[in-house]
Amino acid sequence: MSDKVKQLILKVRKGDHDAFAKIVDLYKKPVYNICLRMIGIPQEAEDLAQDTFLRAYTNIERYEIDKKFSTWLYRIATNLSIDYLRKKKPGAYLDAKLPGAEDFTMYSQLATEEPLPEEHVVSRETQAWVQSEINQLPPKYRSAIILKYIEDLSLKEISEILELPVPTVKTRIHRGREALRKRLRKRK
Amino acid sequence: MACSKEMSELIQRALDQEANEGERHALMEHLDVCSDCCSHYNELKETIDLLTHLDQAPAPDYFTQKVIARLPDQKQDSKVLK
Repeated sequence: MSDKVKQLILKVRKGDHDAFAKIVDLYKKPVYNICLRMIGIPQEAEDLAQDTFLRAYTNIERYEIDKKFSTWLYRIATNLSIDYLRKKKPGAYLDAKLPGAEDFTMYSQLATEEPLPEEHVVSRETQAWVQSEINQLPPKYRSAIILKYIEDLSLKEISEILELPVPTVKTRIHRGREALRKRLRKRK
Repeated sequence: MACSKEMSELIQRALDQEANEGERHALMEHLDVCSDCCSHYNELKETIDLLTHLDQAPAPDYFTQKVIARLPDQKQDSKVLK
């Protein structure tokens, strides 16, 4: 872990809110994106991302300072997202044929909130469609796929975040992308 | 999938960049003659390509301020020490 982050954490442990604000600035984008891709609803993802940082703040003593901070933080974000899916959307992801209309409105909205980069290769419509298909994956595959392909993390790091052995992570990525392949093919 | 389990495992390994050169060569030769495996491979590649090209959303406005506003008060002892 970088010395800069380490120094900030030591200040946070003394109750320094300014130091924590710097930590939030450093990690808010990946944390928000993990939550957003996990649950697909911008407002709920923002609440979960805020909760992630609050939980990190109140549990900062439990963080082991010689380990990578992002691993610990992303674990909180992933666990909160999975808890949210279990509690608030029971079975939603198990239903392969959700009515498309309301989903489409929701994901169109999601897509328009994202800025259009100059070198844009995947259209907003396609992005919204892929996200709606990600939302149909069981959460355990969803988290592995998001950490691997959207956050571009190594298998080792994903295994530490999810607290699973590397071969299990690999299996989840394989099954997740296989399930996505079938779903994406259907709508072509 | 009409082909063997080994072939679909090889497809997965190739996509994970874990297949060695010999295996890749064998896979490519097979894909030339097997349209099922070939479309399986191409569809998986396309799926991965779509995933890796999803945009990262910016963090919501005033995100940091909102988090800081929700933090419990500054710890008493740190104030005393100052």
